[in-house]
Amino acid sequence: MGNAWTIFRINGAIRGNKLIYWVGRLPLIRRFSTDHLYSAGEGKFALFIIQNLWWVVRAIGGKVLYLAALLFIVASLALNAGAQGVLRPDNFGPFCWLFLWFSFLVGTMLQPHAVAPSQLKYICVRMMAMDAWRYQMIAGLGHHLAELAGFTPLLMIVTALLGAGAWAGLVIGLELALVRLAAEAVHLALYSRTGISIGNKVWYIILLVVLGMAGAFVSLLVWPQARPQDVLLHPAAVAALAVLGVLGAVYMVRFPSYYRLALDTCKAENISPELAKQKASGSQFNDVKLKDSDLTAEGDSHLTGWPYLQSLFFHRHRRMLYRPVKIVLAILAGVTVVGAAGLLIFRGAETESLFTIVPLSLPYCVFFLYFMDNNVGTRICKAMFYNCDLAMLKYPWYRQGDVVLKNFLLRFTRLCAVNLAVSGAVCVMFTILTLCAGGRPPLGEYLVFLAAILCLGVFFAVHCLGMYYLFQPYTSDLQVKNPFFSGINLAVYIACYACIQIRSTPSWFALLVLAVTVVYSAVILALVYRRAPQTFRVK
Amino acid sequence: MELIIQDLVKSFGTKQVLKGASYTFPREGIYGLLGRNGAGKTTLFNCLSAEYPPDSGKVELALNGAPPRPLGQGDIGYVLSTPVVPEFLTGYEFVKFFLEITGDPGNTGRTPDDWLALVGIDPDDRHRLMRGYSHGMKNKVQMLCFLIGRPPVILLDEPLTSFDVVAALEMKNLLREMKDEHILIFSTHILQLATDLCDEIVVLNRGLLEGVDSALIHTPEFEQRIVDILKDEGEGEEHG
Repeated sequence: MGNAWTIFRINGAIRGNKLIYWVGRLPLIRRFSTDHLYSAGEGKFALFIIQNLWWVVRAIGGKVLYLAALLFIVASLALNAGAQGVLRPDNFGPFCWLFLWFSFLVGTMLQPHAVAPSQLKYICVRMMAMDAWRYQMIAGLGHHLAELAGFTPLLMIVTALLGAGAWAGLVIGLELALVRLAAEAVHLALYSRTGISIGNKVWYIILLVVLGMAGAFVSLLVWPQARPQDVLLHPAAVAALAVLGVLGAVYMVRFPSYYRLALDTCKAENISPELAKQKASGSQFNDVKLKDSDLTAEGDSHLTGWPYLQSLFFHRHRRMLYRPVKIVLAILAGVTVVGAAGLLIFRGAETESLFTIVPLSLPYCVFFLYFMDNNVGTRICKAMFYNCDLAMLKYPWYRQGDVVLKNFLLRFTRLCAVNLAVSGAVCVMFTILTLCAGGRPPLGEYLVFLAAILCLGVFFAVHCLGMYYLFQPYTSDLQVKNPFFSGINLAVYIACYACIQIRSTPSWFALLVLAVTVVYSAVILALVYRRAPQTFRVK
Repeated sequence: MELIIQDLVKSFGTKQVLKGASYTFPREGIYGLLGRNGAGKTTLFNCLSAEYPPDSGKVELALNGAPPRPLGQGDIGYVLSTPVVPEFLTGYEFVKFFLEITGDPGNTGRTPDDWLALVGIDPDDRHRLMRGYSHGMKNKVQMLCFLIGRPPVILLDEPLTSFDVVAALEMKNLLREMKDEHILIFSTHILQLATDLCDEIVVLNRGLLEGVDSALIHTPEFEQRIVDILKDEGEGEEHG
């Protein structure tokens, strides 16, 4: 009883503290210190009661939504053609199919309580040295009783509404509890044999969910008129599941390695939300982590100072910056050669007229260049932060205004050169293909088209680097914390995507692109010049 | 040289960490900054190095008998307790680059190899990427920035705690060599280290700076005096 009360109180403290923490972050309330509430002993226990009530409401609400979703799926599949309505006796069979696959299989096998990591288990077993077996017996019993008490009444209501009687829901609820015990035993046995807890492996979760969904829908489609409830509610099935459940419970009680299991599953990074978040955030930089082979490149030996630093940086990030560009240039060259040869062979009135209106393809160029330049630009900015600026910004001399601007210009020149190489290749491709096809676009219009393509290269370099310098969105623990950064990037994506939705390109579209890119680039460059020395910081 | 801190205030949310800290570091030398965990030593360093601006108060520097002026670019060097270096560079490349951007302010004429040798980084290691460097080696490279850049004031946050005994001795000797030309302020929890290395001790106590009589430093009463001050703070916080 002592242990049960301790677990209950610790759980109370955890939940109470979480509530105080979140309340303390609310816009108006955070002005006042809520720190003293953490020491509010009994008062905090009252908070725990409130939090628990909320947890019960949320848990029951979730189950209601789940059961409603099952009923909705059954009704929307319209397995009984012509019949109307959700709550009809005909739907009880399909409902049982879904419930069998989703709850009896996926729900019970997904992550049984005994192998699931939890903060409470971490604190009680690992930090407070509570006996792991005792903890698991108390916490596991509480968990299974809560699940039984939460699910069964709802199931009874559903089965009653479907015309099968409340007793059917009672039986299914009890059976589910028994299957849960058996599933716990299966996972424990697996851990006992292999030393691996598969409950939190991504591949296992995906496999189980896919299997459950496939099983449910195949069952419904192949045996739509079957009556799984006849098996489910048969006394023999109930007896068999009771035996399985009891065997599972006995296995759980006799399982000797709960402490080892807690050590293996309850690791700090699985428990602490901050650490887990940090781990997840760190993984977003995986694609810009340097390999040993990247680091063999030398910089330009004739350079000194800042140009030398940036030259080393770009040479050692050539895999991220230059390789994708080289691939695209090779593809464009291939398209140009093959296209030119094809056009020379099949040249005629059709190709001539098609390439006369070649400037109308600009919207597609906008999206292609966005896709290409933005990908490379965003990636290289991430690499700048992760491999260089995260460390260098700790030095005051690196944060000085003139140094920030100097480095911005050096990086901008490199990124622009890369983008212009792609834009230039697109221009050359169109020009050669147009000449080979015999197209005669109006010269002025065509020159504006080419200028717009070249400007787009500069535009995306300004955009990527400008956003990075103005909003520097990454924190020292590698999280993205700037809604403006994400918002403006989304807006640019939407604008570029909208371009390819244009049905008939107006003749002034190239001029519009040209004007927007020039104005946007000028504004961002001016903002960087004025603001970057203040904004380019590690948060 | 004089570093004058006047009425420095810094709060985080509702918690006031620095409550009008004032102190004048009157000459070149090594100053130990003592304080209990969470007393605000790193916050003080962050305010001095403009990492975050203080809410109020001012910090001034008087050089060569000139009147005090606000701290400017390049006046402060800050050695972080966890050294950070750009790991995509070799030690040699970083020092070469740093010499080029600063222009060797001391006109020492030393090459990158000379500087790296000065802090005991072996020739083989100089051309290795810094991502393979140990904590101690990274710290030495970080220190080199201040040896080369020669900022008048150098802040060191727990600089010796993670060194092995050999590296710690090397670093102590390095600090002793530098002390005639710089105000070196280093924070530490280790009282023996402070008494061993420092010319003066300053205590950060309840958000305020307080000097300890330097005559006491090598006396048996010194430890008790420091403990009394810091204990007083702990008890005050517990009751407050």
